[in-house]
Amino acid sequence: MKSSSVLVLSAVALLGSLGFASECVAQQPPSDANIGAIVLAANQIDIDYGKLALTKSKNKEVRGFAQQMVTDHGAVQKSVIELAGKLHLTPVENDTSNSLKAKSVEVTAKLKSLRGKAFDKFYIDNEVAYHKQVTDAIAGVLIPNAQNGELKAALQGAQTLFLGHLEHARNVQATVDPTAAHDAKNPK
Amino acid sequence: MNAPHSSMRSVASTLVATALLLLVSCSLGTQGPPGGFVLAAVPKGPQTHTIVIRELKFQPAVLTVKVGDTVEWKNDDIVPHTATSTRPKKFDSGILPVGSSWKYVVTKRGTYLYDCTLHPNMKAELIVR
Repeated sequence: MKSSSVLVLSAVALLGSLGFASECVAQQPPSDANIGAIVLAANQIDIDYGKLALTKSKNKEVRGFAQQMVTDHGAVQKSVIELAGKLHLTPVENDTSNSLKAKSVEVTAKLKSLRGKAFDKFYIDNEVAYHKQVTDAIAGVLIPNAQNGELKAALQGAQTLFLGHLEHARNVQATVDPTAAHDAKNPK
Repeated sequence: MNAPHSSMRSVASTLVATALLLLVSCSLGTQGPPGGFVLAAVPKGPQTHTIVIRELKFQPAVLTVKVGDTVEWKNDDIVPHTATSTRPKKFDSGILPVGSSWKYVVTKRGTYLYDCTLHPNMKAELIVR
């Protein structure tokens, strides 16, 4: 009883840190169908940010990173859809996937309003923050709650990939904004 | 009465068969000098070693090779990768698309730490002796 309420509380705290709507207080642990929808949303959002960066940025490092996000998250998206089909798992939208999408609408509007270096900086700063939030949620909420073993294993694989993206994003951030280099080398 | 004779014959035929087998194995078994047994392995020339990239790992993560050998990185993962030495900076495959491979002939002794620039959490080591 006690430990399960601690779990729910920490789940709520982590989900809250993803910038979810404050009215979602009574968060239930996500089901596998919810997890599917969350991962699909998280992937698609980063693919779309990447596509936008490819149309707007002239910075070689930023463009390279953006192309990688489109390619890598596209590959993950494909494997998630295949796995969902295999497991007969129909993704079910939930507060988490919905608020991820709501937040991305704001970020996209901001990205569209910026140009040049300001765009590059906002894009890469957001990529660092976004991958940090997503990897924290995968480790703290999604993996512990995944019921199906194959889904759990797929999440663990995606986690390794996204942690790689986080590290790469910090390296790119350091080239875009040298004042962030210290933070990039000493995360947290 | 017949017993000693027949056993003699069978011993003889066994000997002949064994000799034949040895001759055959001598001529077929190796490409070595005619009529001679090759007891020691002939020193081999430069070799090619393959490192497979799969599930965000270089496999094997530590590989020891000799100067002159070729190292091939093969990307069997679902996303592109690179094999890029970081300390010391010596080689860089550039982006390896899914299913592609890249060969590098090692020329200098040392221990090379390398990673994937796209996923810097993928780290491995190449030791050249």
